[in-house]
Amino acid sequence: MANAFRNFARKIHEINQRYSKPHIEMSGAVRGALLALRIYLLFLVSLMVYKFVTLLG
Amino acid sequence: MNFFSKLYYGLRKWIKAVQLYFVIAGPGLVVMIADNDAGGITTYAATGAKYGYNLIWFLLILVPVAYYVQEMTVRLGAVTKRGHAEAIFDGFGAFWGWFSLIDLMFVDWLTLVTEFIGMTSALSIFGIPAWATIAGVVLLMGMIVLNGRYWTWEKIAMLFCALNLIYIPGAFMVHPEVSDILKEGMIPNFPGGFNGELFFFLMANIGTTIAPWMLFFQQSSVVDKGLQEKDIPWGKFDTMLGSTLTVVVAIFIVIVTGTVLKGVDIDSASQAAELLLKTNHWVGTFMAIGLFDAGLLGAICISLASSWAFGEIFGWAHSLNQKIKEAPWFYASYFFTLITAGLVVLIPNAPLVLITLFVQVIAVTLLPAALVFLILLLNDKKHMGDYCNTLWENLVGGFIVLAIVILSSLYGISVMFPDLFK
Repeated sequence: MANAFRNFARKIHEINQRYSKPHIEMSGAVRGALLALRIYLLFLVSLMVYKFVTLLG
Repeated sequence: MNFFSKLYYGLRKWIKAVQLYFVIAGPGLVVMIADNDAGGITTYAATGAKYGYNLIWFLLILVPVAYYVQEMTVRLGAVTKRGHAEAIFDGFGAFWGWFSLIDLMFVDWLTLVTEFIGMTSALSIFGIPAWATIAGVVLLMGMIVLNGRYWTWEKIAMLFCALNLIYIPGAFMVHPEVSDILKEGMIPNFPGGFNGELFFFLMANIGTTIAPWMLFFQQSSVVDKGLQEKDIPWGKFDTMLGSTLTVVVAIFIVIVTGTVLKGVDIDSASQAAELLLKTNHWVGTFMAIGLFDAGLLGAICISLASSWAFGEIFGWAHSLNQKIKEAPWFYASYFFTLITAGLVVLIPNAPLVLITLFVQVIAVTLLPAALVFLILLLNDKKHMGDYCNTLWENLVGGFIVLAIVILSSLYGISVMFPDLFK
């Protein structure tokens, strides 16, 4: 079991290494789009957390 | 003589083109028709029951919307020979890759649960218990994928796609007035004025037309089928035919419920089928069979979308052309997703309504990201070469993506805060 977890962790590390750098050309438009996406997702996750907290309350 | 020889060669060319299409046909047709899954059928049935034929014009707009988005996955898959998950990892790095993959895993699993809810409720109308439906579906889907050939899987899936057309004879059997359909349905209008409830229905219809799993599924399917750059025009035609058929089926569902159940509040397609059974036995039966088929088609595609994505990233063998011994992890993840989703439906007092709502909210976090990545990847000259988006494609695709992001986000927010748009 421990071996399986170690293998899995090694695989994840290997994937992270393989894709450590984005291969798409990082133009201004791409950077802008990714930044907008981050802000959008942060907003959405905040809304979900708020909803979850109000549901618990 | 000259006329007949020209006619003969013209006809032969036409037959050869049709034969070639049947070789290449599949990913676009299957993904678009599977888009009419259990949740989609419920949305269309509820739309027809609530607004009659009045929103048919809006459904027609969804043909180009679905086509433009899905067509991009055909080009991306055929040119890069990579699935959508792998393309995101490679293009944007591990952070966005893991975000998409984990999100996809949750969305697909939850959507799969809703497909099982649809299938069990459809067959319960005929007295079949939920456990028997789930066992039967898992067995059937196992037999479909374990034959070891993508081609066979695809053709079987296309048979189920054909069954999705069952709503068309159903609509003829309720004898709708064609003049009413044309008068009320073809001219853009907002029945009862543009209010929050109508807006919710419009958003729900868009939400069911473009789902995140569809992008991942079609691109991986294009790769597994081995489509090349030269096949792109046929792949586009396949997608166009699929998007037209999916909306045609949606319109016929709206006609059925808009004719028989107008003014009734519908919560689920199975409820619509039960109500229809009271007025017209065969139409109700068709509705129930169609709902089961829709859930099955959705389940077939969604479970594969996840397995393909995991295979691409973890480097497992991940093709339907490989036997279970050659691709054990691919099939293990396929059956794990399928069986666990089915078992959830069997849990007594499981929060199935909450799960259905949760799917819509979670999907909203993945859909905008997947669509933005799609547009950016299609503009990557280094990988796409001559198949990069043109200015016109960027304008149309960009506008559609922006509209879907805004409307699906509002839909997700309205699910979380139902009083917001009232």
